[in-house]
Parts: sequence; structure tokens; C-alpha cells
Amino acid sequence: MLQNLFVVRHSPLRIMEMFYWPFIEVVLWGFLTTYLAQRDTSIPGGVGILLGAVVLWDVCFRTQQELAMTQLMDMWDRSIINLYASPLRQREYVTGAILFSLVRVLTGSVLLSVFVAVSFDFNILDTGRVLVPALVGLLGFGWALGLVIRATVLRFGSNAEVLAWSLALLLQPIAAVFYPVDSLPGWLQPVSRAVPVSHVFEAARAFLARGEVLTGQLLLAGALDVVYLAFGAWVLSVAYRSVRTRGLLSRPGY
Amino acid sequence: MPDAGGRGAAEHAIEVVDVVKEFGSRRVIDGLTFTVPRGQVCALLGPNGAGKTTTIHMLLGLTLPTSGAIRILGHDVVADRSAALARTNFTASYVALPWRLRVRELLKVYAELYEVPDPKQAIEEVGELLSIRDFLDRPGMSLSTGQQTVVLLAKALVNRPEVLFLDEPTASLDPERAVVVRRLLRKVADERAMTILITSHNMVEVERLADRILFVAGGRVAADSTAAELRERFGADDLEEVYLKVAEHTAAGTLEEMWT
Repeated sequence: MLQNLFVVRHSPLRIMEMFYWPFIEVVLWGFLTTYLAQRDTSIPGGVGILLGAVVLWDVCFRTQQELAMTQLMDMWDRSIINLYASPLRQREYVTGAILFSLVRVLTGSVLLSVFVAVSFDFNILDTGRVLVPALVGLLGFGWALGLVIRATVLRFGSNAEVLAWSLALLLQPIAAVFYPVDSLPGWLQPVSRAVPVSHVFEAARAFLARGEVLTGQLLLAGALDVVYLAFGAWVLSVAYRSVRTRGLLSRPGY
Repeated sequence: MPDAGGRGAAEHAIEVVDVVKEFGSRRVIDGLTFTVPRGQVCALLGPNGAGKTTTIHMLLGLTLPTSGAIRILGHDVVADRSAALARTNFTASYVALPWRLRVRELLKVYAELYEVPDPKQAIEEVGELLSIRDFLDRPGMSLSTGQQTVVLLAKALVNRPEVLFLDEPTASLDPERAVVVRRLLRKVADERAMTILITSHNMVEVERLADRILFVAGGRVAADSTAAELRERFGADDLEEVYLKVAEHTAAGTLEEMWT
């Protein structure tokens, strides 16, 4: 955690990347929603719901990315051996990275939300009582994905780093971010319902459209997150043991 | 014997008992057994592929042994890795600095990781010891390779380790700096009764630094003695000649006969 904070302090790029892509995406969707609103397009809950989806999705996407990036940066620096040869436990290393990702993601999200409110007249706080459980659900799934990416990068080296940018995006079409699960083809709907953030977005849309709190959906998202987090932790522990058995830990980037 | 996790004295700083390491069907360590008493500077020598680095990595818990036992200060490295490594440290020629960190920040991170009681004082102390105070506030990426090596050595000493593992520590240093570092390591080892296990292909360095030499060949200890005794036994003028003769006898399968 301390090492990551020092890195951010001296790296304008690491600070800029917290905002750059999210802002680009929000501006793009902001103009699109403005255009749709002018055309009087009928979307339940109003076109602002799309902007809310962008802001919330960004939480999940960047959480998994941040968790993966901290490990990748240690590997790129070839300094990761120093960490693994110290008394630092794997769970402490990961916990530090999770806390660091939380700080980065929440900081970026607050600024992004203010920008959206000022520029496009959409207040994320309109999601009301759903907001906090939604954030928990999004962070939880982001961490679960991040753990799987860390495990894959640990086992297969920096060849697997493309996952840090692509895994969440791969799931986005079935995560009900911009449209309800029911609008997906029938065969894909069970897959979508197995993704925790689908339930988060269903609950957020229901609240924005009808003021309804879908407690069941939010609880289901939380329960699925627990399952995926446990799976991610298990995959990481298997990968950690595997690289130590194969003698790969001292050759990061193999 | 385990020292129950305290600062009590385990008899040996390092114990390696009948360790085997296989990567798939390839056996790189084959029943390796040795102990290093506290305060001894021990060099691990051998040709490329002899298993020196694998041995150091198993001692650090980076690589798991296939069988056998490894204990550091009485702690089993596999079962109790964190406790075993708490009073050790390590550096190697193939390890790099985190680029973006200032030297002082790097040392602070590792002082915290090793739970050094007063990190600020420890950083000043190690900065003075290795004459790196002038670049404590410079980023790692701005340092020369030699300076980076010295900073990594500072990292390895910041917690005043009882056991220090060094894998080719002076490989990227110029001869003048290498001599300074070698003298410093010897001084620190003597003053602090610090145990050092070092690998090096620099025979002059080994001869001047090590109390004892372990030749590893074929994944096991082929010869175990002092530099003087090895020279005498092999009728060699220097350690480099011993090294070549050991390698020759190992290849011919006559080392055991020569040694016993």
C-alpha cells in the first residue's frame, strides 16, 4: 500500500489515468443522452439513466483494473522478487492492493460524479438508498475479477496482462449495464443472471425509473459476489503455489 | 531446533536437510544437506546450472522444495515462511529497484515490511554505512546500475538482518566499488555476527569474504571447506584453479574419490 502511494505521488500518468478514460466516456455518453433527450426519446427513468450506468460501471471496471495494475507494475519493475522474498504474506500483499484500489476508485468516482452533475445535470445521488449497496456489489465483483487477473498474470507472466484491460469489458455486454436482462436473447439470460453486477444495474434502474428498491436483487448480487470473491481467492492461492513449485516466482514476466 | 519464534538462539542460522527439487522430470537439487552456523560467511559455488540460485530461492520461500526440510533460525521456511524471513534479507544482481520510488521511500517501504522499530534512523544509518546519503532523495530510475546495486544492498541491510542472502551481489559493480562493498560486508558480518550465504562467480571476492566454501555440483554438496584447505587439497594456487579442478573432477565423476 505504502509503495503504491509513493508511486502515485511521483507518477502524473498514474494520477491522470484515474480520470482520463472515465471522463472521455462520460463526455461521450453525456452528449449522446443530451441528443436523445432533445429527440424526446422514451427511456424508462429518462435518458440520464444511461449516464448513471456509465458512472456505476466505471466503478467495477476500474476496481478490477487497479487491483491488477499494482501487481503488473511490480512485475514490470522487476522489483516484485523483493516483496516475495520479504516476510510479507500473499494475503497482506493482496489486501494492501485492495485498499489502494478502493482509495483510487472512490476518489475517481466522486470527481466523475461531480463532473456529470455539473455538466449533464445527472446526480448519482438520485439512486438514493440503492447507491451504497450498488457500490458494494460493484466493488466486490471488481475485486473478484481483479483476483482472477492477478492469479493469471502470476502464473502466466506479463503475457496475460491484456486481461487487465479486457476481462471486465468482455463481460459488459451481458452485465445488463445499459439494458435489462430481459432484453438479452433467452439463452444468454441465465448467464447474465450469474453476473452479480446485472442485479446491481437492474436494481439501480428500478429505483431511478420507479423509486422501487429491489432488495432481493441487491442481496443476490452480494451473495454472488461472495461466491466469486472466494473463487478468486482460491484461484490466486492455487496460482501462488503453482509458481513456487515451478520456480517461476523469481522470474516474473516469463 | 525451533526457537519458538523468539530471538532465542537456534543452533544453526541455516539448516538444509536432504532437500530435493525437481522441475518436472528434471532433478536440479538432489539430496542437498548443509548447515551454516550463526555468524559465518558461507559461499555457495558451482558451475552454471549447479543449483545455487535454486537453493537460495528455496531458502527464501520463492521456490518450494520437492522434499526435505529447510529451516532459517529454527523456522521452517515452507510451513512458517513469514517468521523465517522476518530476520533475514536478500539482494541479487537480477533484482531491480521500483523505478518511480525515491531511494528513501524504497528503504522506508522495506523498513516497514520488516517491522524496523525506527525506520527513519535505520535509513540514515544504512545511508551512512553505504555512503548513499547523497542520493537518498533521487528516484531509482535516475541512478546508474552500480548505484542501484548499492541501494539494493542498503535495502538488504535496512532491517539489520541476522541472515543475509546474496546472489551475485557485486556483479554489476566496478572493481573499486566491489572492493568497498566486499570490505563493508565483511565488517558488518563481523560486527553484527551476521550470517551470510553468498553466491558469486568472482573467486577473489569469495576468497576474501567467505569463512567457508560449499561447492555444489549435480544438485548436492561436492566439497565443503575453507578456501585455504581447498587450495591445499587440490594443489591449486588460487580458488579459481580449485573451481576448475572441482568442475573437472565432477564432470569425470572422480570428485568423491578426490575429496575423501
